[in-house]
Amino acid sequence: MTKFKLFLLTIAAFAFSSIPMHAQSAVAFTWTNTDTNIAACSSTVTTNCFSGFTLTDTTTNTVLATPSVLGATATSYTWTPAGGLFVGTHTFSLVANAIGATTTTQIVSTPATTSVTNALTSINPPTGFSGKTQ
Amino acid sequence: MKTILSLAFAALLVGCGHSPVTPTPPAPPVLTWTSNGNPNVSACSATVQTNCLASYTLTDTTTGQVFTVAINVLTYMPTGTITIGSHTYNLIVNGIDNTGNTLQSKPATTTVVIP
Repeated sequence: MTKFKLFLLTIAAFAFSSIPMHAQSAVAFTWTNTDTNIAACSSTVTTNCFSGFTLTDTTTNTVLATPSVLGATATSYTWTPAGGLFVGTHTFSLVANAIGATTTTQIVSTPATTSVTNALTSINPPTGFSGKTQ
Repeated sequence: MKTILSLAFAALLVGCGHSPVTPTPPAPPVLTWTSNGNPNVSACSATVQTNCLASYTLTDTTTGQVFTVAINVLTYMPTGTITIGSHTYNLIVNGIDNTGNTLQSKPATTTVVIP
């Protein structure tokens, strides 16, 4: 039996470039947490506490950040994929994570979701183009 | 006069025990590339019709021949006859933007000498 429930979050996101006039390279997420009456987990508060957030790219089923990065007070996150940003539309979910009456009781909110479209505006040429006779 | 010469040549060949030889037409080149250059862009499909890569356009700029190549291949051999000599090929990636308009890359270029 959990002592509390986490409530819905609201989340927004947009793709952007850190270099003006260049292709989008990152997604900036912001959110608000409506459940502010729960104490943040700490070394001394380990039960009935709020541990943070988990951000997931649900299009690829990839977890982008967990409470170790998105702590209880986090309200934003910038995701810059190492291999370049996706092109097209991806959907992301954010859930709040808490610990219940025991340290092993994980409580997860219902997900807040947002979609981000990174539009294709230019195409690179093929690489390594060569020809040989038979 | 030409007829007489032709008949004489044919008779000479028959006399030698050989048939007339038809020269083998030159083979077209094999063109390859290592990637489409857009690793984060999906190929267009029945379900993905925007923000995607549709095809390649290969042009023999020497002859003006144009070939449409599927986006999922990395090698192509132009069809049809080809002439001996130097041929320059351009390879362009075609895509579709967020609103359904076509996009094209700049060309990648290679030259092949057909012997």
